[in-house]
Order: sequence, then structure tokens, then C-alpha cells
Amino acid sequence: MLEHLLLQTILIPALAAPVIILTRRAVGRKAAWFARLGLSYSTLLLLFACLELARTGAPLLESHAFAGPEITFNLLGDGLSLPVALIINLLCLALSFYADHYIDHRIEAIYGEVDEHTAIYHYTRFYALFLLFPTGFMGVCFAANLIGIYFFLEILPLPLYFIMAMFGYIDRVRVAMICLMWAVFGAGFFLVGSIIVYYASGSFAVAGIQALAGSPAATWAIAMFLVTILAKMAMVPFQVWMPWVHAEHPTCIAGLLAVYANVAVYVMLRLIIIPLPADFQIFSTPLMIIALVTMVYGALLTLGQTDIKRFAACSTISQLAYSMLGVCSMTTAGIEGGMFFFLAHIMGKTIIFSTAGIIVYTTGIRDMRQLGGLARKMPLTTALWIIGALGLAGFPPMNSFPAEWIMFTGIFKAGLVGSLTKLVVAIGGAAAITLSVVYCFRSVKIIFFGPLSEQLAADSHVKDPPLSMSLPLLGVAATAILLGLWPSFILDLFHQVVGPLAF
Amino acid sequence: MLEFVISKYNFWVYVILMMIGLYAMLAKRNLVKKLIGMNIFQTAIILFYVSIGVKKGPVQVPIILTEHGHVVQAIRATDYLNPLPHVLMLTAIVVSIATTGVALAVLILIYRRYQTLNEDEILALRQQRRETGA
Amino acid sequence: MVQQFPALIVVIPLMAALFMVPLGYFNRRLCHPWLVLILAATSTMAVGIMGQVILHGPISYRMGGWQPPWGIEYHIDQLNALMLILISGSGLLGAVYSGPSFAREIDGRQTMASSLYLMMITGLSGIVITGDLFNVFVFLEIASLSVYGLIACGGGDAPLATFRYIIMGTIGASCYLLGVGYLYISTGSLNLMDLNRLLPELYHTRVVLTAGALMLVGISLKMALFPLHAWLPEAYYEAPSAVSGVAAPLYTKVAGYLVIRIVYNLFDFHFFTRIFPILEILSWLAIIALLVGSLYAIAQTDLKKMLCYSVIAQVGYIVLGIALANRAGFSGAILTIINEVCTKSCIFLATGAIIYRVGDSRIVNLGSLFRRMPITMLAFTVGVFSMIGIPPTLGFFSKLYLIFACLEAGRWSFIAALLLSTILNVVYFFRVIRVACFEDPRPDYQRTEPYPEVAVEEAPLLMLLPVVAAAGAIILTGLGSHWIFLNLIRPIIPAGF
Repeated sequence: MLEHLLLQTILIPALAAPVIILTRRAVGRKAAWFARLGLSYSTLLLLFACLELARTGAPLLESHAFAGPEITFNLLGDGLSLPVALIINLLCLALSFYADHYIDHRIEAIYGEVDEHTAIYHYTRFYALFLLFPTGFMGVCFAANLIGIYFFLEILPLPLYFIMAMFGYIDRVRVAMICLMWAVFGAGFFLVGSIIVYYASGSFAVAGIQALAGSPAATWAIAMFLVTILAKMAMVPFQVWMPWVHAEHPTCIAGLLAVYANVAVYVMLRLIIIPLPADFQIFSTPLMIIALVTMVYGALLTLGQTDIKRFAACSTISQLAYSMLGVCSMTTAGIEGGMFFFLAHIMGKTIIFSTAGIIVYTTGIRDMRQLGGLARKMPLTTALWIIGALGLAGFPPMNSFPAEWIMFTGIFKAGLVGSLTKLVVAIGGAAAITLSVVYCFRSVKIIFFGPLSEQLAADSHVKDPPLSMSLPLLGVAATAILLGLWPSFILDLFHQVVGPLAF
Repeated sequence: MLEFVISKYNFWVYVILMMIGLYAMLAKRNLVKKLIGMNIFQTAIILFYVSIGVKKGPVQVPIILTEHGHVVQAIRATDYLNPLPHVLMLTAIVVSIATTGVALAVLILIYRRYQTLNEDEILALRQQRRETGA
Repeated sequence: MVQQFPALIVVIPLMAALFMVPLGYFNRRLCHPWLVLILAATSTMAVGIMGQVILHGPISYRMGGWQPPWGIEYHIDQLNALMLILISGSGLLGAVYSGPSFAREIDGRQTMASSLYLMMITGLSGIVITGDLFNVFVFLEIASLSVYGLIACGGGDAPLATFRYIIMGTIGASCYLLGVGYLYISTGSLNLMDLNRLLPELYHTRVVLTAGALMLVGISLKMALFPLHAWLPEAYYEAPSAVSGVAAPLYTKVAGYLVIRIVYNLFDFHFFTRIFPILEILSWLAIIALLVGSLYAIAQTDLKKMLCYSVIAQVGYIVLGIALANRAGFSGAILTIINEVCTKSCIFLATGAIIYRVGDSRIVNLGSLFRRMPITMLAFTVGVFSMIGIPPTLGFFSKLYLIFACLEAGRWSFIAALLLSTILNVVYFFRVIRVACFEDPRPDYQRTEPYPEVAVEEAPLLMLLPVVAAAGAIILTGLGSHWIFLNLIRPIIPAGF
């Protein structure tokens, strides 16, 4: 059972998807439990693997031949990929519980009053597509072969496209297409970069990228990969698709959308920074500047938002840039902090987005100005939102606090040791945090405190959501707090991979 | 120059025939005329092949005398015309006829639908039908 | 018996086609089983030939025992065997499919149509198996004539489309014949291998140059290489579904096979790169075909027409692989041929199934098709993934090899064009998926009535099986692409790359 651990984490969601489709007639809605059980199992496997790794320090390597010697299916679970995969899997698990009521609500809103048969059809279709997300993410985390990463990166936009177009909001079909086109655009550049690596190093293996060091091919390959990464992370100037997509997609996969965008940081670390640090130096400062611009732009955009979902969406733009800033600083503390912030961000974003979904689900209102004083009627939701806001703002005891602290230590070190530009960027980054704090707490005040409007007071739907929606979020929040109090669990694992590089 | 034309007169005839056929296929508006052009084109190529087999000097058509299954005398290939192009072209003629037959059948179907065989009129009618019908 | 397979694989469908006519006169319902039986036999023979070639190397079969170059020789190496399997396999799928399809679309004429179908398979098999240039012409015309007849069965505007196809196709075949004639004048031989030996000393003569040019132009007309593609969209659009489902994947690819033979086996490719450098022009035409085909496809409102333009674009891929003249290009061209046959079979047959159920194939009529015909649309989606080039389908590997070929040749602009055409493919295919999958693309606030109830009405089983089989073939060939490369392509890569 513990052999082929990594392969199991990829295959189990992939296999559960057709199982759900095939058994939908027989078991109805309970088919979704296949998804939940499968994800629980893979999360436990990953937790076990992380603990093992923390104890022994030996990374997991699995080799599976696929199509000839060039395109293998090798999987690498080391200190960098295992924690990332664990947190992502945990979020997928939480969202699979959260989505239960939410999808029913969306089906009713979009398709109207349908008979039970059609409702089950849509419900199970969502879960089957949903399972492609963990498959894709696990694949991206573990694949040790460029074509493998390309394949899983190509898989990810597909469930996004279909789920968004089937269950999203107002202009969902068009926006789904926009998202898909951006993904294909990015994937093309990724393929070109992979081919450059292949021609220079003779194989597609990620471990072989080091062989490019020092040659002009390295700079070209890095440039190609960076276009993909910047497009995925919605950095300026590729950020146009993010607000649209975040506004129109169903909230139950909001957290996964944040992961989808942010996992590009992991890809950047794995493909560029670890193998080719010297060649990356030239890109470091421009990228930090881009990250800073995106941070500030996103934060300012968020301050002006009134729609609750767009609020969360624009803050995602800003927060994605944080991890980029940390990782690009090319210091051990910056990289580890940046990756930890990635994890903290996806957890915090899941909580906030899902809570926003709860609010929209119960009150039916998306405009924040029309809400107010909900704390009295929805205490649990208020608590969740506050936890999420603390997570986004970087306050203790949430895990984003140690993340930002460590990350900025690294960034300032890079600024003090490196050029003046980096120092300015570091100061600018620290200043941008205050913007995050402002918009986070302002949102709390507007939505939950202050006077309660009569309309909302009279509405009987406005109460705390069912347990299946709030419990998973509480679980994620608890994990975030736990990691905030005990960050060394994950940071030590990161250090196993990043430490030896001695930046 | 004149020398060149006269000594290769057969090739000139075939080229002229081919071009006539090609011109008919492209420029004529009537579908039957296009078909005739196609036929002329193919015929030119057939004639070209047949002319390959010709030799100068005292050569015979390749009909070999036999007597009760035995050949009367030894064969000297230089005494006979090359029969291979003729044989190949028999096949090509059959192909040409079959193509003409199929094309004529198709023309009948076209006539039944459009009541005309002029390409311009047919295209105009088709455009009209597409706009109103479908 | 096995030794006679090369001859039988051509003779059996021919005889069966003639036998079909009295059989159908006797009882029309026997046509379809007879068709399937013969094509199953043909497929078995093709697999047998392939097995023999893989185990023992190329086969040389002499028709009637006559020695080449006086007699006609069938020389079968891995490429021939591969094309045979593709033709028989695709033919078998179409044969199974044609039962309900012909009954719906050309009822009353099944006998003749099935007979012509067998003649078409005869012709195509003959083209890929023979080693004699004139024989190629004969089989080319057999195949073309049968497909002219089959397309004209389509009714509506099909006869007009067929007429244009007849004219253009005949010009093409005649040019090819003329080219063969020039080669015969200068060398006295019609046998492919023999000519390969005899021609090099004649490479600098005008006759041979003209012959090469004429043959390539003639075959390009048959292959619908831009700008000689004008006959294809109308012809395959108006054809009955079973016909377009077999002809569209096969014809242009068999013509592509002929171009490979002419460029690599008849003349050494040095002839086309150094002495008569038209491979350069061909590669640019291929790139234009790629892009223009995709752009035309985006402009279409009818699914079947869109697919016909997609065929034109894919021909560009094949010619690009051939024209780049390196190892990766050669492999990429052959893998693209395999991919095209499988993918276009799947997609065209699925479109036929859609026409069967919905009535026509205009994109606006395809709403909620994923719910009505789930299995068909699933297979269609697999085909779409292969067109776009998503692993593990064969489309990805063939594109990868083509990109390698462009890299090896140092053509960065070609790589950009390839990636651009991929994006264009995504655009026009996902447009169809979007309409078929999502109930109503209008935003929520514009809808006033609830979504209508939709029942599952899948295509008949005999139409569904070939579609699913083709989709399975796409994935299987994708997973086995390395095996295909090692056993089928590497042995025949021409020396001197």
C-alpha cells in the first residue's frame, strides 16, 4: 500500500472520477463520497509521507516507464513537493465537503427547478470534473519530467473550463473560454521551453536542466518558462483574465483557482531557480519589480471593490505577487518564506472565498455595501471571515505571519546585500502589506459590523450555514493556525531541498 | 528554330492539344464543354505515350508468328515497335472512358436539379437556394 | 496462402465488389454483412502482412511471377504495411458504420454504394502496395472514380461538388501520368526501385526535372495541398456520412504517402534539396496551408465543413514533415498520417452520427448534445484532444516530432506557426464543445424560461462502435507511439539524413 505512494495520490482521484459517473444512477448523490473518501485516503498518505520525510530525510523517487526512454513518468516526492501536495490535497478534501450544498444551490439557480434525475446528473458531473483538479495538482507537484509537468498543466484548465462554464455566474461561458485561451497560450511557451531544454541537455528530465547552466539556451528556456508562469500567476501585464475569472466562477472551486494560479511559483522554483540559479540572476530584479507593481496594483484594486467576490479576486492578484517576490529574492529565507506564504495564501484564500460563498448563498447579495451587521445573525461565519482576513493580512496566529516575517527577512537581506533597487522593492513590499491590512479589516467592518438592514433582519435564510459547509472551513482554519504556531514542520522540509543551495 | 519545331512536331501537337484541353476546362462556362476539354487533355497524354513507342527505320508492329505454339524464329527486339506504351495506354483509355461516363452521369444529375448546364447560372441558382431554403 | 496476401488484399475486394451487385439484386439486406465480411478479411490480411514485415523484413511479391522490371512488383516495407492497416482498418470501421448510415441517407442505392465502397478500398490498397508507377496511376484512378460515384450519391449539391472534383482530380492524375511518361522515356523502366537506381545519372536533365515537378503537382492536387485544395471542402461536405468518414481520412493521406515515396524512394531527396530545390517552397506552402486551413475553419458555421478545412490544415503538417527532410520530420510526417487517419475517422464518423440524430451539422443546432449523445460526444472530445495535441493522444507525439524537425532545421518561425495553429485549433474545436456541452450560452439574466428536458438519444450501435473504436485507436497509438517509431519508422528512415 505504501509503495507507489505518489502514483496512488495521482491515480486515485483520476480513477474515482469515472467511478462516480458510472455509479450515479445507482447511488445518486452518495457517489460524491467516492471523491471524499479517495481524497481523504490520499491526504493521509501524503501526511504519512511528510512525517516519514521529516524523520528520515530521504526523498521518494518513483520511476514508471511511459512512452519510450525520453518521456518517462518519474515522480519525485522531496521536501519541496510533499508539503505542497499535502496542503493542496487537504484543500481539495475540504472543498469536496463544502461543495455539497453549494453545488445544489448553483444547479437550482442556473437550471431552475429540475427533476431529481437531472439534478443528480449535474451534481455528479461536478464531482467527476472536480477530481481532475487534485489529479492535475499532484501531477504537477510530483512529476520529474518536463513533458509530465506539461501534461498535468494542460489537464488543469479543462476541469476549470467545464466547471466554470457549467456552474458559474453571469457571463460564465465566455469567461471560461478566456481562461482556457490564456492557459493554452501559456502551455505553448512551456512546450517551447521544454524543447529547448531537451535539445540542450538531451532529455526531458527535470534533473537534467542543470546541464544547461551557463549557456544561452538556459536564458531562452528560462524566458519561455517565465512567460508561462507570469501568465498563470496573473502578474502584470498578464493579469487581465484573473478578475473576470474569479468573479464568474463558482465559489466552491475558488480556493482551487488560487492554487491553480499559485502553483506556478512551485514550478518556477523547481524548474528555474533550483537548477539554474546563476542564469536566473538577471531576471531576479525585474521580476521583483513586476511583483511589487502587481502587489500594489492588486491591493489598490481591492480597496475599490464593492462586489464580495471581486474583492477576494483582486486580493488574490495582490497576494500571488507576495510569493513571487519572496522566491525571486534568491535568498534561502526568501524562498522558504515565499513557498510557505504560497501555502498560507491558498489556505487563507480558500477560507475567505468559501465564506464569501456562504454569505452569497445565504443572503443572495453580492454587494458589500448592502450587507452589514451580519455578526449578530451569523457568528460562525463571522469567525471564519475574520480568520481568513487575519490570514490574508498576515497576523498571528495564522501561518501567514511567520511566512511574511521569514520572507521579508530574506527580501531585505537580498536588498541590503544586493542592489539598491532590491532594497527599494523590499521597502515597497513591506509598505504594501499595510494596504492588505487595510482592505482586510475594512471588509470585516463593512460586512459584519455596523447596523443590520431590516431586509436582512427579516430574512430567515440569513443564519449560519449547514455544518457540511462550515466544518471543512474550520478544519482548514485549524490547520492554518496549527502551522502558524508550528511552522517548522513544513519549513524544515523545505529546508531539506532549498538549504543545500546556500544562497 | 524551325528545325526544332519540325523534328519534334509530334510533341508540339500534344502540347497544343493539352493546352486546348486545359483552356476548355478552366475557361468554358458550359459543363459539358469542360468535360470535353478534360477528354482532350487526357487524349493528348495518351497520344504522347503512344508516340514514345515509335522507332525510325524498318520496324514492324509486334505481332510474332508462331506455329503450333513454337516461335518460328528468334526475336530481335530492334525489329519491333515498343508495345509497352500501347498496352499502358489501353488501360489509360479505359480509365478515360470510365471517367467520362461518371462525369456524364453526374452532369445528368446536375441538369435534373438546376435545369441548366451553364456554370454561372448554376452558381447563381445555388446561392439563391441557399439564401432562401436553408 | 500467407505468401499470396499481397495479391489477395487487392483482388478480394475487387471480386467482392463485382459479386456484390447480383447479391444485392437478390436480397438488398445482404449487402452490409457482405461488406463487413470482406473488409474484416482485408484487415486480417493487412495485419498478417504487417506481422510478416516486422518479423522478416520487406516483402517482394511478383505479380504473375514475372521478374521486375518487366513485371509488376509489389514491394512491401513497413510503410506500405502500415498504410495497408490504416486503410483496411478505416474501411472496416466505415463498413460497419455504413449499415444504418446508408439506410438513412441513400436508401435504395445501398447495393451500388457498397460495391463502389469496395472498389474504393481496392484502389487505395493497390496504391499503397504496388511498386510500379503506372500501376499507381491505375489504382489511383480506380479509387478516385469510386469516390466520385460515392460522393455524387449525396444528393442536394453533391453532383456539382463531384463534377468539380472530377475535373480537378483528373488534371492531377493526368499530370502524374505525364510525369511517369517522361521518366519512362528517359529510363525505360516503370519500377520504383529500378528507377531509383537508374535516375541519379539523369538528375541534371530537363526531362527528369519536369517529371519530378509534374508528378509532385499532380499528387498535390490529389492531396489538396494549398492552393490546390478548392475541391475538398465541398466534395467531402456534400458526401454521405459513411463516405466522408472513410474518404476524408484516407485519400489525402494516401496521396501524402505517394509524395513520401516520390521524394524519398523514387528520387533521393538530395535531388529535391540541391538540384531542384522545391522542398523549400513546399515547406512554405505547408505552413500557409496550416494557417489558412485553420483560419477558414474558424469562419465556418457548419461542423462538417469546418472539419473539411481542418483536413486541409492537417495536410500542411504532413507536407511540412516531408519537406523539412530530416529524421524527425520524416517520423513526424508518418505519425501525423497515422494520427490523421484515426482522428479524422473518429471525428467524421461522430459528425455523421450527429447528423443522423440531429438532422444536419450546423453548429447552432448542436446544443445540449453532450446530454443527448454522451458516448458519441466523448469520443468526439478524444478526437478533439488529439487534434489539439494533448498527451497521451498520438496528436501530441506527432506535433512533438514536427517541432523537433523544425528545431533541427533551424526554422524558428515554423515552430511559431505550429503553435499558432494549435491555438487556432483550440478556438474552433472548443467552440463546438462549448455549444454542445453548455445548455445556453446566454448569461443568466437573459434567460426567462427554464432549461428544457432532454432525453438521451444515442446513435445506433452499429454507428457508435466504429466511433468508439477510432477513439480507442487514437489513445492506443498514442501510448504505443514509441513502439511504432522503433518498429515501423526507424527501419525505413532513408539513409543520408
